[in-house]
Amino acid sequence: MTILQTTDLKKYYGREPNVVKALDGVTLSIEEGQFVAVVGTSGSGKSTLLHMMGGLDAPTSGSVAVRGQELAQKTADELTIFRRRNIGFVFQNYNLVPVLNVRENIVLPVELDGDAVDPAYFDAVIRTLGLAEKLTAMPGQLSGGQQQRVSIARALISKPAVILADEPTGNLDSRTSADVLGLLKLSSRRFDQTVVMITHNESIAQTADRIVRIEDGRIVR
Amino acid sequence: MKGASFKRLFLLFLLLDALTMAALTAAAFALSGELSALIFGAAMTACAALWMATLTAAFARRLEQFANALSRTLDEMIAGRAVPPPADGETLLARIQQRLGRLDRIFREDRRRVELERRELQELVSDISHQVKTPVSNLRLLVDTLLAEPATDARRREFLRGIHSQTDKLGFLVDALVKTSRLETGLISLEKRDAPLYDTLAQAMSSIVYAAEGKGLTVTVDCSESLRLNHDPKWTAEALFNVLDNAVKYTPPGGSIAVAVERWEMSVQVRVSDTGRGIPESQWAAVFQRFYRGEDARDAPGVGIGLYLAREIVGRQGGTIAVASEPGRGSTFTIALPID
Repeated sequence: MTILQTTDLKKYYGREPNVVKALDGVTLSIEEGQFVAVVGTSGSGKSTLLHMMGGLDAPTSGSVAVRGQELAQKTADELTIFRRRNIGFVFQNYNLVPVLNVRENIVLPVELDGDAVDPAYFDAVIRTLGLAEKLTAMPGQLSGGQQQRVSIARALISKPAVILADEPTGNLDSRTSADVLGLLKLSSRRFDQTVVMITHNESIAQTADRIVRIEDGRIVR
Repeated sequence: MKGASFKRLFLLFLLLDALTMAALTAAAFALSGELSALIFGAAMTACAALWMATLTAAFARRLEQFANALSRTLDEMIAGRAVPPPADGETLLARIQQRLGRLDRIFREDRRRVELERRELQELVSDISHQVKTPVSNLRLLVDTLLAEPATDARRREFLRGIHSQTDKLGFLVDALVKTSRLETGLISLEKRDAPLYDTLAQAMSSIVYAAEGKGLTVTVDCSESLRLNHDPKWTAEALFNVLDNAVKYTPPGGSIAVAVERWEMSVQVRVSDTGRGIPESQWAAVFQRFYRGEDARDAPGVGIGLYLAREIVGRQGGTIAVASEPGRGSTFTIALPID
């Protein structure tokens, strides 16, 4: 079942004759539960694509639908709530709140929604990510790999339609990268979580169930 | 039923409210002796009753709307139509509908998965028949020729060798296919238990040692004997064997295979490096597909199922398998198994 669909997505910058086509007609369906890698060199448009998928940036034309809902038809406020419930983000630089401890960081998106966290699910997530002993630590006390594990837990906890991961291992050494990536894959499988990960690294992409290659703003092959 | 008791509750409160007010009015009248106190008291009682009744009616209507909206959503679900998207409000209804939508998707996903599994099974069956056909028709050809023509001893031996190699291939194929289909159809569930990885590795090594020796390959293993890991020893050995077997097949005589095991923070990494022909980067992900054979691997034995099987086994344990390679210099397969 398609959980995220982009249709003829375009993003142009500048005006004629100096148009830069960051995305030039991307049509892509992501199936529920899939772990998809979007691979491309820097400047290929993969980051732009991810931002559009997450409603962080508006396309020049074309549409993005998550769970059948068009992002473009929402007001800014609606989009904020929609994002919080349906899209989890994992960024290269973790984006943890420095004044909150690990547990507080993880449950933040759910509590913002006025909900209580399901304790059994919370336990399963932190156990999978090896964070059980770190719950009271502050982000500053953690290594890069540990911080990224916290941000994966935070993305998982609200059971979003899709987790968008932007070069999740970009700031980590190759060894920690493999560890974090294995956990992302494990979480995707264990919690049946759809993940779209962008990367420039072929060897990282291999972990995925499906590889989408993007070049000059277009999907190749 | 619930609505009825709800209404009764409101009526009860209305009655209590009126009684209290009446009692207070009577008290005020008794204390002051003024008639105006009685009139004001009566007016207040009436007003309170009126507002209470209005509140009850309004509340009942809202509740009914709420119930109706939920029923509509459920009716849509029962009818098998897509649940209408919830409004992005912070209302109770939006939150419940959000969850109903998710439940509906889970149901649909389950149905879809069953359908998918059936299709995969069909594909597997057609793959199997396709793969089995070639050696069987080769065998038939060889046997028919032997039966049809008188042949010299030397020629007969040559044919028998051909038959031997085809039966070998068939046997290997059937073996691998049985394992794959058992895994895929869920007839086998992996059973993880805490066990030394060294033993698992040793079991896998024992199956390739002779083949490696026969080709004059140097095999080295670097693994701590005390390293314990929660894994399925039998199937993990099968996965490791397939990776090792692949290394033996594609490494030319005199080359070397090195196995190194390392415990990381969240996983155990098993690296199998060879000095074989290597795999071009564009094929890294493809080598794990079922029945994939590299363009230049046609002359080597095998049917292209080992690495696929390995990926299945590792994946089912929550691990990953990946390859990195420099064509002409060798490949490194890395199996990562989670620690948990």
